Amino acid sequence: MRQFLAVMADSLREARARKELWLVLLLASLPILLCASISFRREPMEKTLESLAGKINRLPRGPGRRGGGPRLDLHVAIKGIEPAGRGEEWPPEIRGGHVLDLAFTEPGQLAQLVDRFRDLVLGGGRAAPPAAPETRPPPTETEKDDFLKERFTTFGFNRVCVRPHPAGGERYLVGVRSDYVHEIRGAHSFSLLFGLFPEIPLLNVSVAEFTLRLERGLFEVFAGIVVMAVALLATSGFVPNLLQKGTLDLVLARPIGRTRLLLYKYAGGLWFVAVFTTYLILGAWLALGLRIGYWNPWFLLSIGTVIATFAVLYSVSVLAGVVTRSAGLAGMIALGVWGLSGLIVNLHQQLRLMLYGAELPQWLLSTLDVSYTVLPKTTHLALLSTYALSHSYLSPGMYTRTFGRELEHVDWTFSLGTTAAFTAVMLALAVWRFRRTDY
Amino acid sequence: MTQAGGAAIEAAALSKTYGRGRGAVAALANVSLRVVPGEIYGLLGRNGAGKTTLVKILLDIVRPTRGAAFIRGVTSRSAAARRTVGYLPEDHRFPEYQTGLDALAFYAALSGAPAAGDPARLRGLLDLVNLADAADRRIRGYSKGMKQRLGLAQALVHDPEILLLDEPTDGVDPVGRARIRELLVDLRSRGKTILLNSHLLSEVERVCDRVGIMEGGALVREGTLDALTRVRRAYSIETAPALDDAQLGELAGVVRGAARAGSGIEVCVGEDRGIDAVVDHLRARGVGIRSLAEKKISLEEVFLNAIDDNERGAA
Ligand SMILES: Nc1ncnc2c1ncn2[C@@H]1O[C@H](COP(=O)(O)OP(=O)(O)O)[C@@H](O)[C@H]1O
Ligand SMILES: [Mg+2]
Repeated sequence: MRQFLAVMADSLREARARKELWLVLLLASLPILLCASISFRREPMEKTLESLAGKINRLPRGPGRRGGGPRLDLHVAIKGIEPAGRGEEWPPEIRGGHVLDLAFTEPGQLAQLVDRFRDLVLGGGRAAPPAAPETRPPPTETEKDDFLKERFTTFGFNRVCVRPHPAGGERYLVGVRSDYVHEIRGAHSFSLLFGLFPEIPLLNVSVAEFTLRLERGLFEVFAGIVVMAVALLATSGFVPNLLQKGTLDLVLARPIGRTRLLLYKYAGGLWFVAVFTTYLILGAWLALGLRIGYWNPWFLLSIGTVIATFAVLYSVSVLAGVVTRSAGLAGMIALGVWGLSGLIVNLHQQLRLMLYGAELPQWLLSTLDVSYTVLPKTTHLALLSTYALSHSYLSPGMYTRTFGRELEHVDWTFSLGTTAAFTAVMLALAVWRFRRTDY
Repeated sequence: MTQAGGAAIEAAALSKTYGRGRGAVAALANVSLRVVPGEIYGLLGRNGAGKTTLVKILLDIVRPTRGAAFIRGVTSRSAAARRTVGYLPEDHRFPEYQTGLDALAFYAALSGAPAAGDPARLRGLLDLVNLADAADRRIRGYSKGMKQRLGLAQALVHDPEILLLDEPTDGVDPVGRARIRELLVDLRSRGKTILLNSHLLSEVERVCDRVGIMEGGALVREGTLDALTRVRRAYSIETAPALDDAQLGELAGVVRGAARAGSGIEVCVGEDRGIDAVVDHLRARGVGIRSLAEKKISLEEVFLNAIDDNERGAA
């Protein structure tokens, strides 16, 4: 235990002594400070609803489809916006919300929208081309109600109730309420630098989506790429420095086995990265939480996934360090494996499809499959964070509504299993080599 | 695996060949050696003689091709054997991000001795090697001599029973050398066992109880300083009056060899009791004997002779 703690403390000291690290830490603190300076202001609900009503024609992309074709012109008039619960008899879940009085001013407009919607969203996955418009049955009243309901649900109201206006025609009363104010699109405007920056309305975006995208960006670009690269480079010297002639003798002369020594050194790298990552991610989380008032504990899960990803790549670095005894090579090899595995894992499916028809030798395809199986799936670890983030920020089903698609499905047992096996093999090889070498 | 016999350090028929095939280097050939508790054993040898290899095998830093080594009866392959050993590697290199105090604390913790990490004790140790002022400075800024002294301190950090010192006075100025010698003698008086590697004869000569001479990977001479430097059946005699050439010639007929040396003579006799005959011969001729001593040669001569013999043997 004493030996373990000594190696941990020494690893931190070694990493701290590198000046580049401090520069990166400083640079990394800037986005955190920027996050800390964000402020949101609620817009009046009338204004929000007015702007949302103008976006009924912005139909979402259907699954498997890109873009929604040319957008239909919208002819809609807002006859009134009132708090729900007065005058009209609304079901209890709408009470406390708002009622929007909406009239489609051009005949057939709503039917056209519903038709397009059916086409894009409901029929999007169909293989057969949609039938010609004139042969299709016109939308029923229920379908029209459902369409409006769907639209406002997507806008972030989890309680929507649509009724035809007593005056008749294509005029509707839409009762809306949301339990998740932060999910309503266009309900806020935001400002940077503690309000110094001019306010910008979040037109088609909810606070939740904004924060999600921000945290995902922070995680993917920042923790996933910048932190990882810095961590790999900062720790790449740990093992080669230890193995330097004259340095290793000092350590090997102590009553500590070589297996332990190397594994402790490995843990030392993890420990350093844990501290570094926790600082950045916890910092960003605190900053966002304090400013937005929205605390998402799932964001902290990304600390775990960053450390796990690093643990995988660092095992490569340790093995390369033991074999080459060069910090530069160890760092580069680890970065290389990272890039290669990211590429192969991401492209495996696409490549198989692309190469399907081509007359390719079997060995090429086998190589691809074997590489996919053997290489660590670091991208899947990152996806784990995205998963947690998405499902924690948005109410059930909202992710698909917002992004128009489900998150990628992953066979976690296979993915995590092969990744763990890869790491174990790297470490085992490193230990084996370290144990049998004369220094 | 343990070995009986109470040796502090034991090497049993160690051989080491680095590498394989055409690039192979035979660094040790069948070296056996015992160091008993409480002695300072000096290992002399030219560069490349295999001294460092031997010490590294004792610490399991290098694995022997054949043979085995034991520290206080425990096989050197076990980490536990290193509990009571302090090691000063030649050309050691401390991580530059550590301060002197950091380094000592680190090695103390690695050695697993609970009391070793006490900061006051560590500062005391730094004071002992004259580094008290530099304790909190990064090693990057240390001079070669300072690093060497820090090396000595780290070897002592867990108060080991056995010290393996590889060229301890390398790069140290004469004053520092004298201090190190004093320290070694002091450690011996406290019952520590020391194995010292050096190519500097005078160092070894001044402090070691026993000396081993290595050449070409083999231990070619071994013994106490006294035994090594004594030349068997050779004597220096001071007479009064000094012998003239005729007397010397007459004497040469009685012994193996007789020659003038300085103010006296040196004789070489054929058997252990032969010196009695020399004394009788001189007394019978009325020559007075003022002093008679076994002839000594310097360690340097012993060393050079050993190398010569070895080369002649190899040829
Ligand atoms: N790691 C190694 N790999 C190959 N040869 C080595 C290694 N270490 C030492 N040698 C060789 O072994 C021989 C003995 O070296 P060494 O034990 O360092 O001698 P000394 O300490 O007496 O100068 C030398 O010829 C040296 O070149
Ligand atoms: Mg040497």
